[in-house]
Amino acid sequence: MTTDQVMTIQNLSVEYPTPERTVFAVNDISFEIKRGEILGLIGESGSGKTTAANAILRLLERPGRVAGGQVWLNGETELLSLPEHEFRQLRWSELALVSQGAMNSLNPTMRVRDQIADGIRAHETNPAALTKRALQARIHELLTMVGLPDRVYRVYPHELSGGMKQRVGIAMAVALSPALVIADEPTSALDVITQRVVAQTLLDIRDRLGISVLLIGHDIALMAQLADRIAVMYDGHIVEAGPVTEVLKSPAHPYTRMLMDSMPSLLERKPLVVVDEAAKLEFSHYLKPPLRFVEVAPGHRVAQFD
Amino acid sequence: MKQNLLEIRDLTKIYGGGLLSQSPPVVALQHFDLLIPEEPAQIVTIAGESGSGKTTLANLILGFVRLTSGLMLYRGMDVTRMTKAETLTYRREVQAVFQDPYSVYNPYYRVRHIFDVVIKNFRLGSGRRESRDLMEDALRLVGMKGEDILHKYPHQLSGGQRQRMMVARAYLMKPTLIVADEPVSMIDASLRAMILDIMLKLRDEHNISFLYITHDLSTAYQIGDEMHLLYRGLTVEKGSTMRIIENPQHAYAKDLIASVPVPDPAKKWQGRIQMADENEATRHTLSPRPVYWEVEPGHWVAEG
Repeated sequence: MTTDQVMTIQNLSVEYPTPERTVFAVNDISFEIKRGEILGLIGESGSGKTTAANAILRLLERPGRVAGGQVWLNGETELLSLPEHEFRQLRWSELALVSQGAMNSLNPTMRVRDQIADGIRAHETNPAALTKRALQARIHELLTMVGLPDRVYRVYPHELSGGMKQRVGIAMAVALSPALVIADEPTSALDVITQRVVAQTLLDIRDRLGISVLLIGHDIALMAQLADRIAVMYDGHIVEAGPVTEVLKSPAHPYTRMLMDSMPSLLERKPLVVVDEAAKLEFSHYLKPPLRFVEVAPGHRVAQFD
Repeated sequence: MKQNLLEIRDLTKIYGGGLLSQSPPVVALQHFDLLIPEEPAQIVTIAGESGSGKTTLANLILGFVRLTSGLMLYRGMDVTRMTKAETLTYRREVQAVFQDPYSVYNPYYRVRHIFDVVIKNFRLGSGRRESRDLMEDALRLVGMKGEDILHKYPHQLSGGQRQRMMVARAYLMKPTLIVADEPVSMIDASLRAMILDIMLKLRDEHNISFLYITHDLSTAYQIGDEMHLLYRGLTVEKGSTMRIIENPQHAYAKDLIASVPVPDPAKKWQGRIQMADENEATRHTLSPRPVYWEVEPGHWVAEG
């Protein structure tokens, strides 16, 4: 069965028990990712965006644990309750990760071609795709896909720049045509021009391969360039979500508005909007769970505040 | 005649390439010129991508590495030939704020330790009371209070608070120039304005100049006066920050400015951008000193 939704997250919570109290890093969040869309999950440090991604990928480290909720893949498989050996089969083949440090997670002693081949061999189930010739052709195709020159096939990671390594990471992530790629701050460590090239690559895999992307980041401007829809996280909650054009044009939640106001722009030199830590904490008064959402425009939902 | 605060002429830094060196030399920064007047204080942005030489420049000014050739004058004194007393003054008056506001703290000490050390080493205050007043004064400037903060450990502060502490520490020395190397790039976007605002205040109310080293043109656009845009160790464009960003001339500057994402889905990147196929091993080579032409008043571009 295929549905319009690649992933549906329902009431996901992640808790970290501490001696004093239990901290909810992710607090009852729900959202869905449609087929072929780029969903931007945006938040500042400590908002819970990476924890949410790790929970979906079952990569949470103790003492963090999922306190509740469900994650449905393709509307048919609930990931959080799946036995480990079954979940492992979905990694890479259905769900792949590109992390901020993907460029540093390449094995320095292996040529790029061998690393990509390794990933394919470990997860590919069709034996015809594993012949030397088939593998070779596929790796070349993947490198072209992410816009890398052919020489990359033979080189070692240290011979590549950061942006090129990041694109090797994307090539590996899409090697098995997963339904969803989770990209966690994939361009944050890169220069502006390199960031644009890597962002272009993410758009390409969506446009040409139809792969959905959950893009996690803190940069509203980058989200405006890439995402179809965005969800804004603050203190473990999603406070606002909707089509990117709609949310950025008429941000409804005070926190989203503050984020937008504090964003510098090259379009105009405007006075600085100074926000301090205390002012940011104020927003937590709006968060009295369970949050209730209002739809202010089609598909644009905002947590109620008063 | 009025002296300049900092004058740099044809500064070049080449790493490696010594007699016993196995690998070819790397030209990190070349033919760099800079003039910061004593007054009025200004925020000079040094912008460029990684490998452009901007941090090398900071390291040269702060004396962490030695220059290969060129001239660096602080208030008319050659920085490489200062007496011990002059060096001490230079070290006090030229301060630094770095990118990572965590790694500069010793996690085992309370944060007041960084104040205690500078007060002691530079004999800024005599007695507990005077030291305390100095600290409070510096903290007030960055919007913090001693009682809230000084007894804490670094991990108990947010990134923004830690960075404000570093600015306060720099201010404590009554500097003339603060070299700020990516001071806000590890801080949440919504808290960046706070640090930038403190920089403006120090410039306007305390006559402290900044060398603002960053790859982020949008914050430079908000606060910068002059800008030098570096590309592979060379200044390709310099002059008014606003003019360069609004009217870039050099091919690299155009690409760079067009690639800064705009927070408006209606203004998407136009077309595609290609990256040169280069690897980390590509060495920058020494070029002839570029000729600059003035495209409009106060806006210079490297020829060719």
